[in-house]
Amino acid sequence: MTAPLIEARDIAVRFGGLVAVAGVSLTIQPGDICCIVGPNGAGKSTFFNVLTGTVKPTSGEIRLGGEDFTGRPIHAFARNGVARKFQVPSVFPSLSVADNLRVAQRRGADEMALADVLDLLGLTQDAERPAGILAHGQKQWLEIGMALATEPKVLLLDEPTAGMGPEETQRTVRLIREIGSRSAVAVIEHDMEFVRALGVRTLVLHQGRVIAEGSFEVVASDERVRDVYLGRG
Amino acid sequence: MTETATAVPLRVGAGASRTSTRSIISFMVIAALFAYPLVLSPYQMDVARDALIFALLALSLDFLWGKAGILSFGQAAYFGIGAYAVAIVGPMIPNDNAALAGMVAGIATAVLVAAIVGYFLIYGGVRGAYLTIVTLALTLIARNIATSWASVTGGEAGLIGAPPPGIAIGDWSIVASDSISLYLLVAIILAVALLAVWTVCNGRYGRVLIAIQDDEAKARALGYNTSGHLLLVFVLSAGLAALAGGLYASVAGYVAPDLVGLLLSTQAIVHVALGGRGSLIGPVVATVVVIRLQQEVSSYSYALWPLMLGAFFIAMVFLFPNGLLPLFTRLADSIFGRSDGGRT
Repeated sequence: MTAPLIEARDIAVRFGGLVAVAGVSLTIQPGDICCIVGPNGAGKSTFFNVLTGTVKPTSGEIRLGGEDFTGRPIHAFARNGVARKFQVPSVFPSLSVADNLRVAQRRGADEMALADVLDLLGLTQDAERPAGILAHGQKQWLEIGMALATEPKVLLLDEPTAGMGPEETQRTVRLIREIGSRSAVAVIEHDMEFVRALGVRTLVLHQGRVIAEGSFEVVASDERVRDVYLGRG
Repeated sequence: MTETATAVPLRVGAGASRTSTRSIISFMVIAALFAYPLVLSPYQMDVARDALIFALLALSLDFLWGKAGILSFGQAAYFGIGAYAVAIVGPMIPNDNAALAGMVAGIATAVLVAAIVGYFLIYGGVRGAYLTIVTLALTLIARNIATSWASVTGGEAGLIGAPPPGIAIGDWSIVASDSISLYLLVAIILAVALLAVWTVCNGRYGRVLIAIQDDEAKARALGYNTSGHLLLVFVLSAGLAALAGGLYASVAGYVAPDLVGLLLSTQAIVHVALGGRGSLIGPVVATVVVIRLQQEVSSYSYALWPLMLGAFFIAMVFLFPNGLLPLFTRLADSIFGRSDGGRT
């Protein structure tokens, strides 16, 4: 039995008097796809920041591949295969799409892998166009592709469908499923339609705590989740 | 399967043909630079030679400003360090390696100064206009040293007796002293420097530099030591500027405080801006054209040139902010019928 890629145990984060995350645990195994949902201010992004090493937890422990990484710097997480896509799409606008991916391939150029990622993103025809002129959704995909080009073990995506229309969202769902066959993926979302379409293990955070966990159907039928999402009415 | 099934082969063609147009143009320009003086009088050849030295200075700035995004007023300081090193160290060396020794000393000093100043600034997170202002101070300090430390630098009068470029190995030695050989020496050094910078910037390294210019935080998140990359370019560019300064002192035979002035830095910035920042060959061509033009205009009236330069600068900012080179390439593309030339 190999150690899980990421194992977060009883993570708590306090900013002064504010408790952002209050004892959340999550284990990501190779091949996992999971989703973290919750209303604004539920502590999703803070928890994510702990998983990528951006924020040090006030208490709790984070292990990568069985090794304790609590309190280690961001680049240590990055070098151990944790890649992250930020909420705001950030690509290099003056480089071509292909060159964006080449820059992301830090371990050395690999044109085969490059063509493969382009194909996966559906950006093969745009490979030589500057990334700055891509549509918003395409930039989001390109950034996911850049994270993928670093050959991560775990890909963490923060609201990958932010600002996307329904069609683009559907494509993103397919893209994430496809990526799931290469590396473990964890996604933050608050769009329930997206989470329904993805249909994977789902954690619901509310006020810094996990209030439900399980398959989407289980989570969606949970009373407390309904309360939080739909209001009591 | 999804949309991926409809994917068409990679369009490498468009990018490759544009790159080859660029390299053909570059090669033609370099060849023209070599041929140009052979039809001129020795005096004109000397003017052309000096223009190429200032083109080398412009190249050093374009490497830093165009490729790493750091606008520097400090190039004249490094140019001055290179020039004064040849005039001060050179005469201490008895054989024909004098100029060479001076240049090595000058480049080493400039690289050291740039490394120290650049390390604290760049690793300290200083970027953009703030960094530019410090480089401005660097040139002002260098200018003050050149005028005030008269016992070493000769003060306002400068120094004469900078040794001409030469090489001595054992009993054998060669010194460039006539106009043709001096011109060719400068042209070869410029061509080699241009090709070296161009090669470096067209590879993987150039891509990383563009990425840093676009979004340094993102490049860092991908695992690049962005400060290290910027410092390296800062230091290499200083070395290149010092080489230009050393060459100037060596071929001219004298140095004066003018070689360290803010005017020289500003001139280099104008040349780079005119030629097209980041195009490398553009600033080189612009320098030669501008100096030729300056000579022509000044023969009518001394007052006219600064006026024209100012008007031109304003026109450039408003009408063609990317410099003149993109205009010419677009023209060339439309003549040769490349439909994708103006797309970016």
